[in-house]
Amino acid sequence: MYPPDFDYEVAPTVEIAASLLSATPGAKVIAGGQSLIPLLRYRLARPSALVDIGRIADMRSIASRDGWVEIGALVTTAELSAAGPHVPALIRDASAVIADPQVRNLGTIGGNLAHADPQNDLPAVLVAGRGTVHVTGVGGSRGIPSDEFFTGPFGTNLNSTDIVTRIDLPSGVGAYEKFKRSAGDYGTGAVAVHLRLGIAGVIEQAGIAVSGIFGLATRALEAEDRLAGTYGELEDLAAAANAVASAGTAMDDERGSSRYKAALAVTLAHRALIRAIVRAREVAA
Amino acid sequence: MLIGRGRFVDDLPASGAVHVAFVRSPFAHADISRVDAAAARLESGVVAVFTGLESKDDLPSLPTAAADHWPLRLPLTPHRVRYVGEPVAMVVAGTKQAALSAAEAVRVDYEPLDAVVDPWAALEDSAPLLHPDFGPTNKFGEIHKVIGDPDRAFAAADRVVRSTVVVQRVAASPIEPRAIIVEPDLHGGTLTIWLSCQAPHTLRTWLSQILGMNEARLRIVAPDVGGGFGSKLNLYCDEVAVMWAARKLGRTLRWTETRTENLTAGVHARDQIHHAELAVGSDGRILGLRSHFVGDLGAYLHFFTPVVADLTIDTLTGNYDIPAVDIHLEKVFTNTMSIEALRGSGRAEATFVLERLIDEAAKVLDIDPPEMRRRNLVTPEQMPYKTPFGMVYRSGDYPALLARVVEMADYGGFRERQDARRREGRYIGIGFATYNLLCGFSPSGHDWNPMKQFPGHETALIRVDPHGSVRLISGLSPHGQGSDTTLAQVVADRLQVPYDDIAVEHGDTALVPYGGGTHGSRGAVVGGHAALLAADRVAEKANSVAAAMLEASAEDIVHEDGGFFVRGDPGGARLSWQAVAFEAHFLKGGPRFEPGLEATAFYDPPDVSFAFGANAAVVEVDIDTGKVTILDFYSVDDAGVVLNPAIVRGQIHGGIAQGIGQALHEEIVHDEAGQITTANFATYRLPTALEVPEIHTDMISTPSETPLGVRGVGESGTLASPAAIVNAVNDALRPFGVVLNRTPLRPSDIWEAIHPE
Amino acid sequence: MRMTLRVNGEAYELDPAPSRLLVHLIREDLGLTGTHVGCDSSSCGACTVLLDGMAVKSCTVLAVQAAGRTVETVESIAALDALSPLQDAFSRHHALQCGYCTPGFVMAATAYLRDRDPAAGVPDRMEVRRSISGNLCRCTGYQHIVDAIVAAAADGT
Repeated sequence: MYPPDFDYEVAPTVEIAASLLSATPGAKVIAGGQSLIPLLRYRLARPSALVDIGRIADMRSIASRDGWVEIGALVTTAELSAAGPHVPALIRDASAVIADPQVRNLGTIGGNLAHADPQNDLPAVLVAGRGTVHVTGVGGSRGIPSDEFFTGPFGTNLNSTDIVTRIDLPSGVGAYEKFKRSAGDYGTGAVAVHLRLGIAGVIEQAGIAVSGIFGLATRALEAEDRLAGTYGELEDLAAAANAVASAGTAMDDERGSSRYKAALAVTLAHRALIRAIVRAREVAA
Repeated sequence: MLIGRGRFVDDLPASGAVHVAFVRSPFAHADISRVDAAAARLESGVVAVFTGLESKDDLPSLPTAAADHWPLRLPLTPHRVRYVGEPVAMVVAGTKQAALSAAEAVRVDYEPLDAVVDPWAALEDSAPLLHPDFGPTNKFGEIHKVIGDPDRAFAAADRVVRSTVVVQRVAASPIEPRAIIVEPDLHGGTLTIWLSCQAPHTLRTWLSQILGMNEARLRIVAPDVGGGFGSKLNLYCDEVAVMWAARKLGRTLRWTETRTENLTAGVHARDQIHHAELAVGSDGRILGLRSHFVGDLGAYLHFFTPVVADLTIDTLTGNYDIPAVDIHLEKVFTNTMSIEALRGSGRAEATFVLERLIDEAAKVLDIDPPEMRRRNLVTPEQMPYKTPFGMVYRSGDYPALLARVVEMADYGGFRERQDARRREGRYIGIGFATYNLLCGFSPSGHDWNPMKQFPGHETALIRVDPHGSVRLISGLSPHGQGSDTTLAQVVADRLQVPYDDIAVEHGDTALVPYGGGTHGSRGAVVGGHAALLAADRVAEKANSVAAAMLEASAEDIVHEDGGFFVRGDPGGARLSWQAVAFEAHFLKGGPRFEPGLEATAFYDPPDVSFAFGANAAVVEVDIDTGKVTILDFYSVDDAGVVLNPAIVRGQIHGGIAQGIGQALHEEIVHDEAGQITTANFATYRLPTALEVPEIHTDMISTPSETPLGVRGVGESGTLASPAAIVNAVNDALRPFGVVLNRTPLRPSDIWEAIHPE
Repeated sequence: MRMTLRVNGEAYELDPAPSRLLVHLIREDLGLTGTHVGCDSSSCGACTVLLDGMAVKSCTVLAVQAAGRTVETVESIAALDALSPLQDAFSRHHALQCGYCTPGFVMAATAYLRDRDPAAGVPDRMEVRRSISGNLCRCTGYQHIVDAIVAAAADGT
């Protein structure tokens, strides 16, 4: 319960944070701390220093653009879950089921993505939504497309001085369906669905990503292909959901066998797809 | 507590106290080849490091209270560890951080041995032997009781149902972890221990022997205690190590465990595997019950460990009239933490096994589950009814309790609703279970009294102050049960004193006469009667003081509406309670009686107590995810006369919530190497407000054969709730031919049963 | 690190180590022992305080993260001579038994009630349950706690 000692600096800007990270080997970033502090308490993380980016002023807003939304990296998951319709339903759904109210008050979208825990929820949202993660490091700023952001469980393409500043997510309809054994548990798995609709409701592009079951934010490519170009009729949704089972390899663990988890992925995909299509019809109506 | 002024042990200031951290075994079974504390001793802030290896001749050994022989258990293990978390060394340092840091610097070399975690496997000759100095096998003992003629019953039965029923290992998990402060007074030779515990006197007696101290010099104080549920009623290695070290150093030591320590080095509970069978006639009558089960003891015997499962045997027939029983228990050591008392211990396991068998038999006979129970419940006409194990049921209407819960659950319309949902592809189910709670043990005259140095009585001291305020000092040690309120109500009624004029104290052995603490649903039924008895004596003394003041004889004094007057003269002289209290202290009228207005009573109950009830659970099972949602839960309880409805309801709700945890969520899981993989609250999952549904309660009050008419209630909610829920899940999944006979029912377990490969 | 912190309306000048958890600063350095530690995995919520009005688990906040901010603990909720309406509701509805988890629930519920639109009327019980889903109680089974929060909300707290 007592973290090991470390140095600590508050960074007033992203640029200063990046240069502090560059100058201090073994330093880590802290934003909300909801993922990092539990590791510090168990002494599983022993950083030499923490660079606190939680006070940086200009990473806290949400801006609607024409065709996408820009979310500052320090926007909390509580703020996202309570946001209005200018924030896609997919991200609102997912934020609302993260952990519990207290954790959501401090946990940030930037932190949730950067930590890249397979059981986190926002990675699949990013991947399904084909979003972009904007980062700034000592080398400058760049935007990383979602399919290049994650490398694997707890792994991202962030360099040692990179700080996530903003997440851009295209507009569209979507839904997030998560399964937890109980409220205090991490998720057994979840499916994020993001649909870009065209004329008369044709699905121009489908994004389907699975949290947790197959590892970190796994795209269900076959399922996406099955849906693209259809109008999302029930048989299309069912077929796409079934295709999610083979999007990756599930592991046996205390939450269930790989067979159970694959079936769960199909169920969650099906439910998310139905909810997304219902929303699409409501928007159209 | 509401305003943040609770005084739990970790909240208490202790000037000059130094802190403790433990070095614990990471192996379930290993020899210790070397312990090197040199580096740790050099760390800044370290006062001392004690190791089992170095101190083995100085450390006291820790007995069990429930057997005459036990394998050696020392507070710090010198040579061999037998469960993950067993303490090997302790660090004493100026701050918690320094103690933790130095503990990390203690080097222990282990030579791992094969570990055995499965209790059936531990019984085999080929299993690793835990205590070679104690016996040739891991089997500690067995009990085999045969009542009636079960062989004939089973041979003659129309149907026999056989099931392997598993009740998993759980942990009590009070939200307050264990905590202790030990303050030695070198001048007076006294030792004061603030301990989060449930029975200060009992522990004091044991500890005085263990520590080799005059009991009169040992004081234990239970301040506010944040839940116990049976787990804070023990002789723990780490707590005794702190006491021993405090005396050795002559300094105040304090230690609070982490949650991980609580789940790994705190005691566990339940953990039984039954191979059980029920013999029934085609008319639904139960003819016989057999079970061969193993009771996992863990690696060592803690306080109650040897006899926890005995309660399963003695209560296995529940509320039902079952003439023939064959029950065989084997007790075995495994490389795990000890199994100990937990709210409902022994009885919850028995209820689960019995109620699952009854439901399976009902299915096989195609008899409606409530009807199956009706045909077998002991009825009022059969009372007094003696169970196969010698318990005598004298009162209570079990069929009425069942009927009421059936009515509350609107069972009449349920099957239609169930069919309608099935046509929609949704699966709801209803499950029933009844319970009989044996509690308030053990009276001195009762047969079942396996505990040594364990008081079955309760005490109360009532002290009236000169101006009439009343102090009630109880030997109970409540930690949320509301005893302060209920005891004060009893005394207020009996003495006709306003409830707000009564102050209740407990928990400090320097203040309280020898009492039994709070556990086993004994608060109202034993503690309440002790308070009543003391109040009777105070009332009698007050009467004689009033008599002297009114110059009448004591038999002619009437105590009514808070005042005293002479019988037949209600309009005449009338004394207030305050006036009597004053005179009792200051004798302004001269030497007419012995001064003082107080009395102490020790109440030895004439018999154990029984409470009983019935539960119904309505669940929906999501067959695609395996998730169980409890739609409604109904509980009808007979706790006898109810002194405080809100308090009784709170006890029932809390017990049911624990039952829900047992049924669906909680489990202490060991891997093959004996590591606990559920060692924090993220993995050992207690139900939150989203897992516990609205609980609908009703009460039927059959007064017990005691002056207050009360029965126990603390443990009631835990007994039948897991069975009701699991029965409901089985009912929901009937179309799939699924039979589930274990707890917890995890979503993946349910899904696998519905979708076999 | 030197910092100022407002706790229960009072300003403090403190110098905690960066590794110090807010809950330990509150309990050990400020002597406010109403806030409790019940676990080591951010699961139980017994350590819940309000940070700038938001319910947070103080075991999952570094003291230094609270620099310059406002903290409210359970000790600040009652007035000098009376319980807050929420605390009074807890008492009347027997929403506490051992009381160890109670400060966490009081703070979580206080945040919930403050954030509610007072004109919204009687809250839905499931919504109340969700608001306390980050807090564990082993004694009450939650029902009386929900009763108390609903009653306090209905009183327009």
